[in-house]
Amino acid sequence: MPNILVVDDEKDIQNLAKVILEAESYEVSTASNGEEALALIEKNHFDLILLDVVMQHTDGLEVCRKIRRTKRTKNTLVIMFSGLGKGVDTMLDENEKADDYLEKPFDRKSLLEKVNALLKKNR
Amino acid sequence: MSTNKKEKPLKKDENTHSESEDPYKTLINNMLDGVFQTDLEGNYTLVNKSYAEIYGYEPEEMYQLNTNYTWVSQDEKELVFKELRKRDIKNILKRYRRKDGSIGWLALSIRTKSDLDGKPIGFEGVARDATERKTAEIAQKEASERAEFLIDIMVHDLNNINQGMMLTLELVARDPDLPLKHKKPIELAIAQLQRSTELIRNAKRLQTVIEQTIKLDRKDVFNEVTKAAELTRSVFLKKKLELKTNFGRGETYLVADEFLTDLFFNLFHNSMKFDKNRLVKIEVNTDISDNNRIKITVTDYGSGIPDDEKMRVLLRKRGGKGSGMGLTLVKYLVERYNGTISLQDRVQGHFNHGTIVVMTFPRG
Repeated sequence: MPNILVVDDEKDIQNLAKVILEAESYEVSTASNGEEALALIEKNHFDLILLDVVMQHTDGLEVCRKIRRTKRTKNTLVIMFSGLGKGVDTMLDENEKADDYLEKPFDRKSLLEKVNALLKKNR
Repeated sequence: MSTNKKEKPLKKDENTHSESEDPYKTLINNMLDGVFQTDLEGNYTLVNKSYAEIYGYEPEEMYQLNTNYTWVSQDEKELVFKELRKRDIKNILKRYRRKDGSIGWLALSIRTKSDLDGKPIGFEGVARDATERKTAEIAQKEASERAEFLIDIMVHDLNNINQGMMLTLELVARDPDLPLKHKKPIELAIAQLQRSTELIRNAKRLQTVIEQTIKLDRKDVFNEVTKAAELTRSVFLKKKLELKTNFGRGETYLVADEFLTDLFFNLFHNSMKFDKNRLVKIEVNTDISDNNRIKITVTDYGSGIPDDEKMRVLLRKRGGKGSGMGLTLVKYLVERYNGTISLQDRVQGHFNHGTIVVMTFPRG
């Protein structure tokens, strides 16, 4: 089953997303900040990364930029979420942007629709 | 100049003249704005009382001064004089140093003074203290930046809190063992969260609109209406929006900006939200009004707005009732585009048969 990484500095959001995704039989890992996320990404393969933007130190934009600039991970699917919606990564180059966006607060249905749609497209 | 021996001399090394002999010099000396001349090296050759007062000097003290002392920043000075070689400079704001060492802001107009052959021999100009004005501007800018920062924090944190509550409530609602009597309160709680989300989004959007410098451009109304409809459909996944217009692409233009989509989005959003049917019909029509303005109407068939609510919903004041702020944002945008807005019943006398939002704008 696809392997998903949820990156958010809010533990509750991490855990809730994990519960929802695991109920759909996805394998889910979590990270609380950009550094943790990058460390996990270096050691593991993820099919999709759910990435919060506003985090301390290394934010979601920087994580996305690094994912896209690394040969092994550059095609990893990324869904960015924040309260700012699609406009959130205007400062990234075209080839560094996320594959999709979720505006917070999103509901369970929106989360699953976006995740399922992207993973299906990528098969 | 004045014959009064107590009067300070206007010009360096010049004999005094009586007022009747030299009304021009008296005029300059009595001007409320500061007047000055310098040589090419920046030594003062003429100052009036007002100019000296700005700096906290007596006029004769300034003749011992070079302007180098009064400039706060050499970079600033170089920029100004570089520009002065090309043209006269009118009404710039620059910092200056007073006699007591304190720094103020000066509104300055300056030009190069030339002899009869056109050769530069110095500089001259007019100045006025602008410290109070500039201080107020800076304070306002800082207050605005602080407010924006606090709003950003609130939006981010409130969205995170709402996110946690939203997913938790949804998970609880999906529990097959949940007693039926608990389902309704949970659905109500989710609905309240959605209202809260909408309010946060609109407050942030309104703040963005207010802060943004207004840059109006010609906009195709059909494009903006179409974009707004798509956005609305993406929000109301369980409903169907049937949109009709009496105009097409390239037929109707307004002088507006990027927020025109928000204007229509908020109107459509309201219509979708307050229409109990799954299929929601909205009509957007354009016409030319009696006074040659573009009239745009947005008509829905929803639950409508009672008469006493019609004005209130357009203007959300602090402490007033109401929620969402969507129509407040609409009204703000209409006025931003020099438009007018009013609300009417779709069927006169029957508010609960739907609403017509009537807007007029200058022709684009």
